[in-house]
Amino acid sequence: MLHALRCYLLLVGAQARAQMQYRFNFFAQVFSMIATYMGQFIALSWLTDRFGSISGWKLEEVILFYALAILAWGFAVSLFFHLVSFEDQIREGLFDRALVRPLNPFVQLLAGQSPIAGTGQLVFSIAAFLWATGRAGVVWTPLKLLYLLGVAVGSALILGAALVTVSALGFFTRRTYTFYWSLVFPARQLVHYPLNIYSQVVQWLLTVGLPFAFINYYPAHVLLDRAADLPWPLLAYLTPLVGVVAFAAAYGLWCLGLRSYVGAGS
Amino acid sequence: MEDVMITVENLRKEFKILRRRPGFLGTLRSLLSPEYEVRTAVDGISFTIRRGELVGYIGPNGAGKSTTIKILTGIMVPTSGRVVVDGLVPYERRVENARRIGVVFGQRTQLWWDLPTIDSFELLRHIYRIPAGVYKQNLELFTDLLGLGEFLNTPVRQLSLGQRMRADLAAALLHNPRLVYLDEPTIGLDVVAKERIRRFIKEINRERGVTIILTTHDMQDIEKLCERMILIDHGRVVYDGPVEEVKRRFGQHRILVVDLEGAPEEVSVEGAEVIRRENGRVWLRFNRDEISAAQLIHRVGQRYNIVDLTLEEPEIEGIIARIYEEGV
Repeated sequence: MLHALRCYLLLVGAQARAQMQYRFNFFAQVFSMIATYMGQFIALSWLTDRFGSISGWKLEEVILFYALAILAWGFAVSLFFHLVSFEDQIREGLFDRALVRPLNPFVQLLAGQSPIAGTGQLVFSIAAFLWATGRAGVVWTPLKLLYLLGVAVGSALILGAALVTVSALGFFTRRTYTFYWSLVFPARQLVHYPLNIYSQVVQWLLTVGLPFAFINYYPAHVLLDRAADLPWPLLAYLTPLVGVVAFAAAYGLWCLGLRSYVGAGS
Repeated sequence: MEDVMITVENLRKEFKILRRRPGFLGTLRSLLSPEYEVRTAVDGISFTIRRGELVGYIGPNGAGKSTTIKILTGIMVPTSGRVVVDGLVPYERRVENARRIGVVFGQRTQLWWDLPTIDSFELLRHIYRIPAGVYKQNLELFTDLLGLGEFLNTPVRQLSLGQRMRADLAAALLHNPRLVYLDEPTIGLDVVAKERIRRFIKEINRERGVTIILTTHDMQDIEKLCERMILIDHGRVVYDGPVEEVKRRFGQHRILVVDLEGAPEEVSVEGAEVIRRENGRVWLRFNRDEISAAQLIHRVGQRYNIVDLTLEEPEIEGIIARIYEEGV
């Protein structure tokens, strides 16, 4: 376990050093992201300006949902985004390298990216979040900060679990991009808006299926001191637990996938 | 037995390939009622390899070479059969097996592409938990033998193919593996670079007693390095024995090349087969057990006027190519 953690950190460090050689990419990434998100912000504010509010949420509050989702995505991208391209590794036989080394292949896969690749997203996410909490009038207390930390970890794990699942499906189908774009990406887009604008089915799917509602919708209630408005206020405090459970389940599926991969051969 | 490194008994591997139907409806039907095609990649292979052997494992593309190597390294589980490598079943104890073996895939590097070569070695030191003393000693030795010094600080992606292969070899041996799989370690290299790699392979086999399984398409690798070769085709062992023996067993054919005066229309000689003609030049293949070269030259000389001639001895390259094409 300790050996695995040590190796993970060393490998990630190595990836970071490698990444530093491509500094231009980093800036290009930040600029393209700012452009994309600005467009979405403008669309969002146009909508709320026009209608005053969306399903009982003011513009500032909607922006907070949005910012929480982006914040979680910032952490998830830094740690897990490379899992989306796992099918390339399988197809090119690169993953076999991990199997002939005495280290858990899952650790080797996770360590295949440096957090620097996601830094642009993360810096932008944090800035957007701070700005949004200011506008939404969030009153900060030490307890809320601690809570936010738990939400950040839990959310990163929830999104991480989704990306680990995508890579696990790659073992069975030799495809990963398609699962990201057809499942994870649309679900992420859905939670950019308040959950209560959707039908019951969608609300349930985003709570127990792909539990992305725990990333922003439920936690935002606590930050805005409105947890009591939820049908079950407890939901607002489950994010870290959901994250851990989802990630463990995704890892389980990944191990099953590995077994099938080794059994079937390619 | 103590001195056995690898035992393979009746190894079989079948692949199930999903039969794809054309069109969107076809895709839908494939999804609902998948039909599989079974392809047998390894069809009952058995062999034993002793500690310290250097064995050439060869065969044409698609013969089942890489499938066998994948099973031996623990990357793949066989359909049936028994495999024991250094006392372990590799696919059941993959991590433990990985600690004891070294692998070089000539076609893809094991090194970290964007980092200086030395960084890859450092990372492997931690992954394999190589004691500091062993690491230092090996690094010095390999740097010396393989001339790594000139590019230790160069990023791997900037290395020439030969340099990269040398670095890959060193990387696979840093943790003192008892057994090394070399998959086409000389592919794409020039003559000088090949020679250097071969010297090194020979050296670690002799001096350190490392067991080596070498797969290659370069028959010179086999002739210069291996005493024994296992030749497989269509998933079966078609030859397993000394490299020299192959020439004796499959290389009875020699070729007499004669230049004939006046380029006769029809050329035929008893006891030999015309395999090629170019104007007056004729290639005659004959079996050394049936007729001697002198006899054949005499016979040709009786019917035609010979201007010039050469005798071609069978080369292992040609023998293997013929086995690939025609079977044993």
